Amino acid sequence: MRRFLANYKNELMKLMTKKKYIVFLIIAAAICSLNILITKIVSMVSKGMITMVPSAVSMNMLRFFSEIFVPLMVMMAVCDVVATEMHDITIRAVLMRPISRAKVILSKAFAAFTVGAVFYATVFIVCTFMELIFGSPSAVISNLGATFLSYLLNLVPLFVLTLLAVFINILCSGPTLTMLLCIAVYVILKFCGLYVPTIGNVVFTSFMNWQQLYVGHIIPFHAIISKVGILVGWGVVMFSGSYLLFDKKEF
Amino acid sequence: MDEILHIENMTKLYKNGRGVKNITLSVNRGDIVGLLGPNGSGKTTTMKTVVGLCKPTSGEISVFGLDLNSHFEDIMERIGVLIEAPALYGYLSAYRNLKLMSNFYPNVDDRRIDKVLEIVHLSQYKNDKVSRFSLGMKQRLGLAMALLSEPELIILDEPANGLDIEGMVEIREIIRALAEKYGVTFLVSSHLAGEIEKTCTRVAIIHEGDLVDACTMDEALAYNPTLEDYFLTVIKENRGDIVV
Repeated sequence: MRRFLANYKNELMKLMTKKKYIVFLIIAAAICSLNILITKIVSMVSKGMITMVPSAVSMNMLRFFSEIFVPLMVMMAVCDVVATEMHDITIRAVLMRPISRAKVILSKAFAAFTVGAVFYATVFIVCTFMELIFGSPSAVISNLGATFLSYLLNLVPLFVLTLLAVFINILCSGPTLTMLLCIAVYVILKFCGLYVPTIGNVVFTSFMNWQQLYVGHIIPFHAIISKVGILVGWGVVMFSGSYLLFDKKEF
Repeated sequence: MDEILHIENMTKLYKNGRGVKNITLSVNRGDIVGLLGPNGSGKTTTMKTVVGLCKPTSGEISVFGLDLNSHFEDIMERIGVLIEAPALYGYLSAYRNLKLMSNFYPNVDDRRIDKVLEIVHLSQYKNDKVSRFSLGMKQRLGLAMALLSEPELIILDEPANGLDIEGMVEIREIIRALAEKYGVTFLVSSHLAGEIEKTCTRVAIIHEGDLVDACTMDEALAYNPTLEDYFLTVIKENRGDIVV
């Protein structure tokens, strides 16, 4: 565990030194703020005919960020810590240290996943803060638990997506090609999920907004359990595949 | 003698048929073993296999009496490595590079980082980005990374690569001082016979993937004025040439 945590800390430190993540974090916060401000302006201009529903902005933003923005950030982070390091051979610096290859891969995946989690946290905090200012504070506070849970639930498919990105990174060579392939695979899986119903039920990218299952008075346990099973299955296959490929690689 | 590293019948063949064949080599505690051979003879492959960067096709490797495959983490905790060009993060400073690596060792603190930077004469460039370093400075930092955890065995692949004469002498002095004062064991590779002769106490000659000879430096120089002459004699004998 000590070695895993050491490398997790190192990978996070390396990602934090890259300014692009800070820039994208600011962009994410700006998108949230602008969305709420525009909604407020529209509400004022339409004299209340179009109004802001408490917590709706947070949930709308979650849908947008969980489908496009955060997956892209996670793929980029995985490319930075896996494909780029394999390409310029700096990965040797870690492989010649007292840490097994399984721990190297897992710690890199967790570091990239943490980047995604930080984006979700930023979006959640900014949206909640803006809604408290421009919306109804009592309504926001009463929905805070459900909104927070929705954000939390979205971390599960995000981790599986991280493992898929790691798998593609190990399979390919060259960071640019890998990033493009990650995006292409994600788009194909999304497309299949939307337009091929038989595949859509087993493709984890269809669950990027699965928090909707938990909203409502009756929680569909059956659907949730089957989706959890599919996510775990994808996760295990992706990690096992990544480890097997990485273990065979020579540097 | 306390055996630190033992390679038994190790073969590593690449898809193109090149590599090393049936290497058997022992390194004892306190030895400075030089792996001498021309470019492409298999020195780096041997070293990469010993530190787990490559998997051997066949054969066994044990370090500190432990099997490399099953005790990889425990073994690597006690080894310092510099293979080919040092693996450094160009966008980080020299200190940050060392700091990242220090996180793997519970006993390495900031004082140790300062100490190794002082040993390799990079203290004044501590906070400079590595991307701005010359090849020689990168090589020194690579050596600092190998020394960081105060390892019992240090594996250096062409450590003098990119260094000027002064730098080569300094590295030689560091190696000899660590071996004499602290009993640190070294496995050093080079294609320069003079470098190995001046640095090492034992020599192993590798040629076209075969370990053709291994002996002490005194034995190698008993009937030859220089290690270079000994190397040429051994290579000719191995080829079946008549040695005059």
